[in-house]
Amino acid sequence: MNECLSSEFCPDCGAPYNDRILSCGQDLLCTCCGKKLKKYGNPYSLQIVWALVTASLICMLMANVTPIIVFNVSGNTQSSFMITGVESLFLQGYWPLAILVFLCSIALPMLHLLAYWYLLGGSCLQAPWPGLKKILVIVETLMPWNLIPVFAVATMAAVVKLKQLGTIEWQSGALWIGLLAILSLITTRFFDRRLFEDMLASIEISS
Amino acid sequence: MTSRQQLGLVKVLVLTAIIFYIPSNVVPVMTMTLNGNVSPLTVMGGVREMIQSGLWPVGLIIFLASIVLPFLKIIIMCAILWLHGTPLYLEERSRLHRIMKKIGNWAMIDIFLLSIIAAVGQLGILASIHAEPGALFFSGVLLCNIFSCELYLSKWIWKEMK
Repeated sequence: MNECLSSEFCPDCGAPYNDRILSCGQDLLCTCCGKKLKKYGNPYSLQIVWALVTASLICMLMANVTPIIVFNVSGNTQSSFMITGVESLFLQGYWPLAILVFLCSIALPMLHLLAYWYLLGGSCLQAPWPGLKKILVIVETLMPWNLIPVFAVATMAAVVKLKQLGTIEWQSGALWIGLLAILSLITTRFFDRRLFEDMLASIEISS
Repeated sequence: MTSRQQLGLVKVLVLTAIIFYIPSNVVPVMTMTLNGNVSPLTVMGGVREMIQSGLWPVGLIIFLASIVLPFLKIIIMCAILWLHGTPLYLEERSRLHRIMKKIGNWAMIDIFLLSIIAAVGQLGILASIHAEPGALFFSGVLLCNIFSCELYLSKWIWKEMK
């Protein structure tokens, strides 16, 4: 299936390349600068990602409402939610840090997932939901701000660090964060801007 | 914003990151009070403590993510800005820029670690953990790094050549 579709130019370096239909697992790379121009797009991949994002939203909700860890020093215990860290930083007077942590670990990932869900919903159902193009831009700009995997590793590091100071126990929230990190890593692998652009164009034509 | 202004902004952000990088590594990031013992910790101090207590895999992750990565990012951005508009090392520059965009955010791990630790460290005299000004400088470096990397468009590396 090495059939050439058309000749186009790399958006970064302007080198010409031949657009072609890819087989499973193949990527189309720019021969000049190595930018990934196109991914293999399975016709069902949108549905797969939609399912993944829905699962992520549920995990996100659970991760926020269940405690992550319980810390115990000489019989005094303190359990913590994702928001507790933000709260205590705020109370200590470090509000810029509190805002940063809040945005990067709760607000922006949540917004990213919601926008992604909306975009995928519109694309999968072939429905001209309003503002899909704007949402695509939002999803793209928020992509690097989804720091859930980093948060998951930080949780692990925190547990290891606190083990020296007292007794520490995992709670169910940590499990949800771990799941969420794995899901978001898989979802970013599937993201393909071109797939959405083609889909949006076909929705516009049909409506 | 014109691309010229945006380039200027990138330069300013890199410069700010360089200025913040020094205090972020010298000023303590947090203070731990355990059973009355007060110990201020810098980023490097936290890493050293972890490695000494035998937790070197975690220490290594923190070391790479919060000391090596921000430094490398500043160096790479400087190199990219230095070579801006010249026909040297085009491929290497765009590859580095791509890699940097992908892994750059792992530097946030230290801030998250601080927030999780500060969340449970509220047991009064037994165990209390407080953030210190170093964390502000540190997050300043991170933000400058992330924004300078995002604002520098990868096509600028090639633009001057056409």
